Amino acid sequence: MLAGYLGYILYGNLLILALTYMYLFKHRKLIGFQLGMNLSNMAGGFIAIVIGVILIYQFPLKFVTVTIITTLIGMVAGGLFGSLFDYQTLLTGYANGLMMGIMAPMIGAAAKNNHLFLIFLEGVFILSLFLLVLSVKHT
Amino acid sequence: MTMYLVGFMCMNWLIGFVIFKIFYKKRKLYNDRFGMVIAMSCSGILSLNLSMIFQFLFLDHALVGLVLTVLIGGAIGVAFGSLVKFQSILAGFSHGVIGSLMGNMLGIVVKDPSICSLPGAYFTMIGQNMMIFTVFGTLLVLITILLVYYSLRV
Repeated sequence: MLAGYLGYILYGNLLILALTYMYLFKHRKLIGFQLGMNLSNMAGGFIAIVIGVILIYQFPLKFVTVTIITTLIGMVAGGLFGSLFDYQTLLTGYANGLMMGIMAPMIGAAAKNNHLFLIFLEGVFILSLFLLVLSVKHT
Repeated sequence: MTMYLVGFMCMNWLIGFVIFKIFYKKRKLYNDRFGMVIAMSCSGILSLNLSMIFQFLFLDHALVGLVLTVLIGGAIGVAFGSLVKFQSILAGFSHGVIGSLMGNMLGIVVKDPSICSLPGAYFTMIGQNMMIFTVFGTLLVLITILLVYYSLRV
């Protein structure tokens, strides 16, 4: 039942991440490098995991291409969030997004199209973005 | 196939040694936070790619390769972490071990796709997948090392 909506879930995730990026861009003067490092780690890692699982559910026959695309997306997302603050936060977010992006399609392939797992991952992703937005003002 | 993998493995070792010598020469220049970032990013991606190629190279001995590459990854992390201060050894060691475990996982899944319950069509193109992943991992190592090297100038 959920299989027809995988594309919409992907677009929704990217949209939520873009909104979070705009919110962080507005408040980036408030954030020090310690928090910036953790923010870029968290954003790059979670978007790579969610996108990898969605893409391997959608295209189970293209494992190699999905791994490459997910790794690139994780690298770019971690790098973008890190580049708000510093060059060294860029490197940290980049490395963590790369690791998570390589791992994500394997998790998705081992889960065998289980939609409950995808709903759980979506919950974790939304919770992590909520914590991320909350931690900007309260440090 | 064996020569191809051995060549890429030697190339990775060479990249690691070159970047380690460059950082060893300039180790008085940077502070401890930058040392931690270097240890995390370099040791993670280097040990990932090395352990993946090691798993491709020794097809029958998965367990021996796992133990050996985890030790090698930890050693790489300690080597990169011990450049500045001893607090970055912890970050380097943990990221090296995590990276080599993940590389082992990727190598074993590419060797035997039925572990992750991938469809049966993969069994006909295991060699091709190995070549693609080796080249892709080496490209990732090159990009990471170039980014880290560029950060000496920023």
